[in-house]
Amino acid sequence: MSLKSIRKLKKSQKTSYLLLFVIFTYSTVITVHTGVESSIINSALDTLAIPNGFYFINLSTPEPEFHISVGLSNKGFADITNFEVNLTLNLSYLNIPANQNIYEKFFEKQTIVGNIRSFSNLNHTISSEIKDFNISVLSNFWINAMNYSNVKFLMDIGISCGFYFGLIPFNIYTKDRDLFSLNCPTCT
Amino acid sequence: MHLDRLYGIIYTTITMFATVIAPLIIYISLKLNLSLYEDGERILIEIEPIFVISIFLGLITTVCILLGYFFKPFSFQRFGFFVSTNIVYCIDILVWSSISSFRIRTNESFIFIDQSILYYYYLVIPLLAIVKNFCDFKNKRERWRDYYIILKTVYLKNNLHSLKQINKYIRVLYLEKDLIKGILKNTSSYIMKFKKLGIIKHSENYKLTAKGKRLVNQLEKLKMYRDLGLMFFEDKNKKFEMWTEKDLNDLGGN
Repeated sequence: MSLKSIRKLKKSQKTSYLLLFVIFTYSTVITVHTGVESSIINSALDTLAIPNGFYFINLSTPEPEFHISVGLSNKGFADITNFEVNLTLNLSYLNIPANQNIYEKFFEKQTIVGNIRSFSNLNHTISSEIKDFNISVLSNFWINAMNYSNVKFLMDIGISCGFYFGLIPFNIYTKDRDLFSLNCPTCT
Repeated sequence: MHLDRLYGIIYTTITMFATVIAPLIIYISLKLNLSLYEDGERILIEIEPIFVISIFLGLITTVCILLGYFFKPFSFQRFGFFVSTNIVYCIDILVWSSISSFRIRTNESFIFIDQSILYYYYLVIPLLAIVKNFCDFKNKRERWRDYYIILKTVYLKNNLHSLKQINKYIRVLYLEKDLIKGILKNTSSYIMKFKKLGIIKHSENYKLTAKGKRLVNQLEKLKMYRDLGLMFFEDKNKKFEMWTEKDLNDLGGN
């Protein structure tokens, strides 16, 4: 359609063509935007790793230690907001004399990493403090260790953050991951 | 009119693909892929109703468009069906947005991600389309009103043998000046179109064919010039009923 013929159109006809143009442009832009944004989120989630290569645990009392690295790559144009990691360590064993399955929590730590800037990588190490451990649980365990079987050290991981200016909330929680079977080069 | 049918076929096909076939393909591929995973069944159970609702809404959307094209472009029924299509499409988008709010809980894990905000952006499209439908409807009615005036002139005056004569009668009609001006600008192209579509025949004089007469009757029943919100005449009292053969003779002469 030439400019001359557009000029000849009535106001309502012009509005109709303009709307068609707006609808077409808008739907194209939104489709591209949605596709790109979804792929950015998916690729960020693909890079989410705990442990991110580094992992250390020493559960001997009185000074147990636990260090684990968290990795995430933000390839989007918007910050990833309120990145938060909740870690819990549990002990599971069979008390042979009492023939009782015991499940106890001995470590809990909440780490607020904050925002991850656009086009940047997060490589954060969560390091334990003594106050995060329930020392009495660990001490009891080591004292009576000979009476226990099927001992497992388990980890619960909870991660929450917001993508796309915090408008896309994300939460993941996995329970009872076997600590000593984590695929980690530094694991002992 | 043939072009309208072609648009109809294209529009219906695209809509059917976007609202019925595409969700169906996604659902089948998800079903095939998820069946390989441990929690696949659980995920499928959660998303299955959404797909069923979406495909059902897609069918309604497609049927609405199809039915809309069965009616004449100037009819309220077509406008109604097109608006309904866009309203159903809005609901369909909201249903799809709930798919993107993904929440799966298994014995050992829980995952939640809500990407519905990205779908809400699409709501603007059907809303704009409703406005466009209204503009198109108004344009079409204005166009068909012009057709009606020309056809009625030919119908009432059987002895018009040239375009000049048709224009002469239209010029003196008891109608708005701008309206007459607009019709006179396009008379020749309209007459050519009518001839092509077999609405008018031109041997010695211009005459309406049986098809043309049926069309005039149909247009007369619609009384487009008195539609609410679409007042084509500034003065409501200037009714079209005044336009009789006697009036034409008095105003235009032979």
